[in-house]
Amino acid sequence: MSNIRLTKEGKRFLIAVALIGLASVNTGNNLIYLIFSMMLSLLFISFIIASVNLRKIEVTAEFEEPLYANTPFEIRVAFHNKKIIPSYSIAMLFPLSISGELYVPVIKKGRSREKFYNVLTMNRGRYLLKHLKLRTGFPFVFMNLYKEIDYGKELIVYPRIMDVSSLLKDIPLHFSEREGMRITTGGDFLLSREYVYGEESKNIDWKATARAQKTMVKEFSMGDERLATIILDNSSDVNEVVFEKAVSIAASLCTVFVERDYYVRLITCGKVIPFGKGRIHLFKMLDILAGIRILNAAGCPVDELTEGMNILVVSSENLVFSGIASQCAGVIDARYI
Amino acid sequence: MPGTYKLFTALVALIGSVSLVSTGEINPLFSVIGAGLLWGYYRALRSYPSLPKWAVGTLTSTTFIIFLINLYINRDIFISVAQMTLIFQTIKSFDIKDPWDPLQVFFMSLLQLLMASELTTTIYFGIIFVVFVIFFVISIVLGHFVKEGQGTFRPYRKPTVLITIITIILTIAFFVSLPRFRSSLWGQSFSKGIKTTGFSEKVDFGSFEELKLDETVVMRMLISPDAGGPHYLRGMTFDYFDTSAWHDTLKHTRRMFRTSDDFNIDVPADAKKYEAEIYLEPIDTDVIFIFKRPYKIDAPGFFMRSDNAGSFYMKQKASKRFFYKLYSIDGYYYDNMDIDSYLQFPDNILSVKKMTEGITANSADNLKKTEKIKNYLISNYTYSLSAGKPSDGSNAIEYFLLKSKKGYCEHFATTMVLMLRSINIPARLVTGFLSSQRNDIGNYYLVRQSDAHSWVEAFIDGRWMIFDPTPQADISRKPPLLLFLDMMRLNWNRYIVGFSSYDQKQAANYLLGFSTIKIGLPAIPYVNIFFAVLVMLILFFIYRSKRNGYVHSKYADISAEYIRLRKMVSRYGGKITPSSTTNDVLREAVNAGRFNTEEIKRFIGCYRFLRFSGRSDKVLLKDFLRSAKALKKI
Repeated sequence: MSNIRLTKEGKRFLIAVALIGLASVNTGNNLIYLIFSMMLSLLFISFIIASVNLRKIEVTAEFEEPLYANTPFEIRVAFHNKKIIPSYSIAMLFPLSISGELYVPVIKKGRSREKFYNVLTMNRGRYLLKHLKLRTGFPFVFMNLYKEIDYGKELIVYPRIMDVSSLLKDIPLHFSEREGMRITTGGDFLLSREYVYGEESKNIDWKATARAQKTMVKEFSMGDERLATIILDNSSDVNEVVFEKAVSIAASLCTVFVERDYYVRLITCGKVIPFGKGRIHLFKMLDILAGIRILNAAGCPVDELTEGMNILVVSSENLVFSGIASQCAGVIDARYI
Repeated sequence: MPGTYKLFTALVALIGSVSLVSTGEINPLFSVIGAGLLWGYYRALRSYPSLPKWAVGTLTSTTFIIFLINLYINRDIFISVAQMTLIFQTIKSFDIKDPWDPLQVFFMSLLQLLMASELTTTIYFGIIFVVFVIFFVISIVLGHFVKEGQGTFRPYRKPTVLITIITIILTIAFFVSLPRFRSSLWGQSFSKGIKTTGFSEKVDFGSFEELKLDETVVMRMLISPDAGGPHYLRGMTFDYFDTSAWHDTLKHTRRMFRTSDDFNIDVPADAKKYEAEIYLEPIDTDVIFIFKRPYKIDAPGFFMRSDNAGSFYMKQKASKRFFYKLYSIDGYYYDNMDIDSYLQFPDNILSVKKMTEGITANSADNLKKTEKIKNYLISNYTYSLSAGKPSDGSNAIEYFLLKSKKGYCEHFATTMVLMLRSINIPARLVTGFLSSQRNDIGNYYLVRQSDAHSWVEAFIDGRWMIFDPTPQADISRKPPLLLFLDMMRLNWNRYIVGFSSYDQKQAANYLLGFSTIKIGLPAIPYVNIFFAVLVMLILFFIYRSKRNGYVHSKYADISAEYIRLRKMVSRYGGKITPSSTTNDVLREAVNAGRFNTEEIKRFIGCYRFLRFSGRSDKVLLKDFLRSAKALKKI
């Protein structure tokens, strides 16, 4: 069953129907019965047609991933009418996180209709779109009928990617490509990283798998690997805007270093993504950053810095990671960016 | 705002105002002000700017003041409100700005139509109503699209037409099936009756003159079998004449109560039988007009009254059209109670006695005497509506009898009654209608105010016999078109204005082949059963939607069962908090010791899968519901 909501006019009309109904019974005047009948039929038609209008309407919504915060994107919505009669005046309501609605005046019988919705801005985060909501008020103005359609998709909006080249200039990159320094010799064990579908099983690092509770594989050095660790301090209670900026910087750094073919690791309070490279690895890190929140200090892996270049991104002075700041090639304070 | 929408708004406003004006109850000045909306909408359609706020405010305040003054003058709040809405419609026509303004106009038009329905019952209202429904539906469909931000209506013409047709059909269906009551609850309809005379305890002599010039239809009658008119429709009788007015002084009325569907009258029904369906307009009397001598009357109301003279009366004057059916026979009245009262004779008309004795000198029996008097009057006197009045102070009867020798039914009948009484024959004046105009298109008789008639009943040989001493007047035939229109009026009055629970039964009988379902006693009308079932279904669906929080997701039933179990566990001593998980519920249920452990494990297991896996499994759902049922039995 769908959800009905009377509009302001609908409520007034309903009151009028009740009063006129009372008047007709009270006076026994058949002409008032006639008007009462007309009003009842309008209400009845309103409900029946709206219900039929939303029947057998399927909706698919697609968008091109990845999505980044505060970056406009487009949602392609396709309405499919599987009835033998047309549907009129249907709107798809987007959830609060997106807000807005997409209106289709008519969907012909057995046809589909495509519409695009431009989302101008969205905050980073993971949004579970369990249902899509359809609305119709057709044919009158008395009520809106809502119907939920199962959708079950997750929309992940990554942090905004900003230009961090100016920030990197100020960081003394001891191990950067500028100096061309190799950090390992070829053929040695380099690190354990998460298993990617299709890889050979002989490389699985069983000990690391047991420790991490997920399948890990050994990565061996080719001799020219560069390692970068991005540490995002999400331990302290800070200004929301500044924290968002810090997350954005961390995401941008991850992107830059992955694009530069680094092995990149992300450390935050609560989550650590081991070294890895390539786009899939980048998205893993961005997934984490999309949903990251400020946590208390407990569970912050402060003693994991052993190798590669470390960049610490902070948003306040009360740092859990302050002890390791000295080991970092650079510390970026989001408050001053 | 699109021009089409403005145009339809204007039309709806116009129809609303016309419906009020067409009732004829509105002061012409207000009608003229109401016509101002044409100018207002002309401006709106030409996209002229609407009136400034202060002007609208001032006009509205002025309207309220006019309303109060109007109310003070005519003391009729209903008419005053109706007239006020006309002014408001005009003001609003100059102030159409937002897409929401037309909705106010629609509501106001609906109000105007509603008031018109109380002020009139003519067929013109029906025509206006149909036009209103069409434009109202189209307008609110357009209103919907305007609300959704659509500027063009071309693609929606087809559905709009279809919706309009469906609305009309459904309106008829609702109208026919809505339950009707035999009488109103605590209010009366505002509709006014037709003023008439001749059917009250006192009737002034000469009062029929103005009726004779009034062509208003007061009654329509279908007779079966119909051997051709004219037909006498008997109203009431009068016994006492004081030279200026007739009086009904006997007033021996008694109540008659309904037996099953009809009022039965104790009359031997062995003569030729007739059935007459009568649609009586709301005239200013409680008299039930009868055709021949009825032995059964099927009329609304719990009781009616009758008197010794064979007159019948409603419980009260009808405020709306009154439909009744007569089952009659050819027969006489034999009642001789109060017979002396019918010999009353005014002291100052001695010339009548002399003249009557002269006319009836050679006649042996009363019947012959009576026939002679009747024939004398018919042959020697002329029918005329301009009878004139005596200027010398003499009474009207002597003036008619001796000087003017012309008059209408009242003169003839009164004179004959007095003549009969002067020679000791009991006689009484009867008022009613003489229907002579048959509408061959609809096979019924039209009875107008001008057909109001009076005749004589004389008590001869132990029975009351009818004599009509009035010469026949010319009967003008109406053109076929007018007769067709009148037939439409009859159907409008019969099937819309006069629609009743009786008609509902007839319609059900026609459609379903039965009218009532007999469950012992009393008989239960099927319509009431239908509505009872309908109401129960609606209540059931409301209950269901409430239970599921209005939004019925596919998990709603599953969750409802789980919530029920939580409550049960809590009731049996389990510690269930809002944050209790399924594991907690399972543990508490097992600890409570009242539940079958295997059953509850199965229930919780199924619940977890069905609710959280995102998949549906019919077998599992069956298991789940079976477990839920088993658990409920504890």
